[in-house]
Amino acid sequence: MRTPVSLRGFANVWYIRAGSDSGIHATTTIQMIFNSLQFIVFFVIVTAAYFVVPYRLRWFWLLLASCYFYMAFVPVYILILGFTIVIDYLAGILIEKYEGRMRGFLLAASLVANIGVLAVFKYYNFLNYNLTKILHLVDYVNPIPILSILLPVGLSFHTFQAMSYTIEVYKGNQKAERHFGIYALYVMFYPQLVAGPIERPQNILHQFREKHNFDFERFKSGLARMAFGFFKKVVIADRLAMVVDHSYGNIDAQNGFSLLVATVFYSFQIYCDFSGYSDIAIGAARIMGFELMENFKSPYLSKSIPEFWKRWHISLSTWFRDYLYIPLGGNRVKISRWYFNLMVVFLISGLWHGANWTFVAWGLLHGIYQVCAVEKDKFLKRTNIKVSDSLLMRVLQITTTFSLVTFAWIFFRAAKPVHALKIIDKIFRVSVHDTLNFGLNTTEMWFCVFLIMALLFKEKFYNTVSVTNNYRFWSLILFLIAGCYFLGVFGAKQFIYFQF
Amino acid sequence: MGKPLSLFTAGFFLIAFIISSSEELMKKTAQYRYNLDNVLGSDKYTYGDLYGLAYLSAFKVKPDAQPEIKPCRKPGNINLYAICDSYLWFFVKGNADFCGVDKYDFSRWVHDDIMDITLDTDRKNILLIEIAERNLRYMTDTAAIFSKAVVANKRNVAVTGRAVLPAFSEGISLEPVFNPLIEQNLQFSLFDYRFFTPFKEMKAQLNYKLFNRSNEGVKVSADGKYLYLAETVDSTQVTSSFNPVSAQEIDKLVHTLNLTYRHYKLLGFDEVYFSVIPNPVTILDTEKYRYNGLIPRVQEHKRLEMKIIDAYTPFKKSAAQLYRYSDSHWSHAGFRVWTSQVNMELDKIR
Repeated sequence: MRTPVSLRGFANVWYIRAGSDSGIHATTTIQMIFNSLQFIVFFVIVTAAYFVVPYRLRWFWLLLASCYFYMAFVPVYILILGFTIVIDYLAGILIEKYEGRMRGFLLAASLVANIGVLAVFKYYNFLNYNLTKILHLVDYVNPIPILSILLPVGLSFHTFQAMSYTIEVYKGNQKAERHFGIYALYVMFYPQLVAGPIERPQNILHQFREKHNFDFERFKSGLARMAFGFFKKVVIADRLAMVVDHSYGNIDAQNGFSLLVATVFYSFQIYCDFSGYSDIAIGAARIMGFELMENFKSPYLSKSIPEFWKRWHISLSTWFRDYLYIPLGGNRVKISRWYFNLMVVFLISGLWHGANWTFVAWGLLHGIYQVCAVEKDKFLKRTNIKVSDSLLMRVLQITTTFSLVTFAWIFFRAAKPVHALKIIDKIFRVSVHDTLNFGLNTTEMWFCVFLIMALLFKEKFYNTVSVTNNYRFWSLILFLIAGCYFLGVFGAKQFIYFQF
Repeated sequence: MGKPLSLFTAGFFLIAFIISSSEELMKKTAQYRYNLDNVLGSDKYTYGDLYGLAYLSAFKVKPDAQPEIKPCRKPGNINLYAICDSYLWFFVKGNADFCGVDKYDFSRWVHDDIMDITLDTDRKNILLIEIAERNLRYMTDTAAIFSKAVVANKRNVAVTGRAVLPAFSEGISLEPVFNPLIEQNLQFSLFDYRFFTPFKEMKAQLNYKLFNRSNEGVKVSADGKYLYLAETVDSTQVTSSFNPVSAQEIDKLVHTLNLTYRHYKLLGFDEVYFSVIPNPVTILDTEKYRYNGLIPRVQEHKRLEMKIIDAYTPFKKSAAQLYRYSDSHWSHAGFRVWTSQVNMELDKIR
């Protein structure tokens, strides 16, 4: 018989030896995030068994593993994923079969189903909340209820990946997949299921049919990629997160200087967090023989905002480019329409990240940046001014781009737009008398700065790892593993992009 | 990778995964490994449960040895039942720890324990409800408290408050497949071996010396002598001795205790006692914050009906080493101070 466990800390924990039911073990439940031991063990089992399972059953093994991986978050949400998989699988086959308007209708139906799921789980409460606010202004009570639902993990990611399949089939760039299991695996492939990279069917679907034998060089390359990813996440991102969370969690108690430093740290936190995830995903897939698309290319070394978007979250920015920006007309339209297209794409990109006005503001800012970049180029062309390529100028361009991106991150990180405005206000009133007020000691603060410098240095000069020199390679792996173990911050901190 | 190596790797980690997912298998391996006195044993609790989290070598001290205690020779006519946490179930060895107690039984807050009791009407049946201070403010659900002890020959007419046993759902549980404790279990299965202890200590030392940071569940006392559970010190948490408690909350707690008292009295217990074991930081007073006064405010509440076994006052007065340096529990000396308080109360009713 079960005891109702309503007293926190009294949960049923087995292994506390007599003498220790302190509750300290019972309070943290860790999902299968990449920086958990659970994931590492899961990955080793799946990968090792993958090379043992007969070739014809490998898709099934990977699908089974992917289902387990996804269900480790919230088991019941596999049904939502299953729903979109079935819809898009059937849509793909039917779109290929039919001609003319019927194809368009089928594509629209599939997109509506996908966007409908997104709308219900991600945007319903947001829209409803705003409706309530508006109705409140005219003294009217909103009768529509709020839904008590959790956002399925990685919903935006796998929905977009599923949508790219039906669109590509519609465009005739991809044959409809007849094998239901392979198609399901395309949507559910566990390394990139919950936070991308958002793959295209042309790149990944055929890889599920290929026979991958174990390749030691590829194994080393994937391992190095994973090790860098873990290092970025647990040593850099989660350490910087302590500063950021401390400052952004209590804005009123912070001065402008602390908030400025925290905001710069956030730029690197989100980069290391997300690119770390992508590195682990790409590395894990590579060890099994799959090549996923690159998601980041040293974005903070960009010299302009348009260049930044070619280097940041590439799988999403190219998704928007191919499936929204170009269909809207891209830049081959009147200048006003072009600006409109840019603004629409970035506003939707903001909303894609989350149902909150902060994300809308973030997208809006980037849209404005893009328009300004176009205007700047036009101005330079009109006035025939040549921008020199000197080191100083490059540093200036990189610094300016980084500053603009960092400014926009304030909206991305803040819980509410009003918080973001408060932070900006404080930052612009920074004083020489401000002292840093963080939860970290001075050594750790400087260590954070050192890690950021080391990261930029590595990105600039050593972006690829040689796997041919065994001595150097294994030394590097050992260094990264030891770094993660001894200097990592382990607190089961979720990846930021899991919430999207 | 050759097939045999792949098979071995997959098999080895799969076994670790399966063991770590199973409550029963983990119990067995844990009991076995805690008793091992070699490199395959575990240091998780050897030097205190907080050392097992922090791995700070300065706190690597063996717990105080249990002193030789003469069993109480007083004739026993008391059956003592306890709802308790590890402060009791680890330290109480049996009825000999108490005077005049012929039979001792207990159920734990933690675990799915329920005491099935048949009251012996020829004896005094005493119920003792013990709880650590850090958990006291969570004691608001009477249904959970009432469910810990079931009396077969109860003589209740109508129970005040809520139903004795609340309804529970028999839904399908996915826990064996997705064990919520798997992370901790895997850490134990794969890395909690004595030969890893030096690495853990090195890591702990490095982070503590460089960054002044230890395991997030642990806080080093301001005087550097003790390890505390961080939640008992962090004033933002309700488990903390320094988190403000409103008068309304105290009233509510007392109301819950009164309902509990009436419930168990109606079930047939001759007396029901309540005892709160203070957080170490409450007594040791090493930090520079103001105590919220939770224990005295509850114990001295004018509407409290429950009989109290007071640990707070004698602990405050005592100069003895009442708590362990690297453990969230009391020392044997602390336990003895408390049992003497219990025995004084039992003396009164025997």
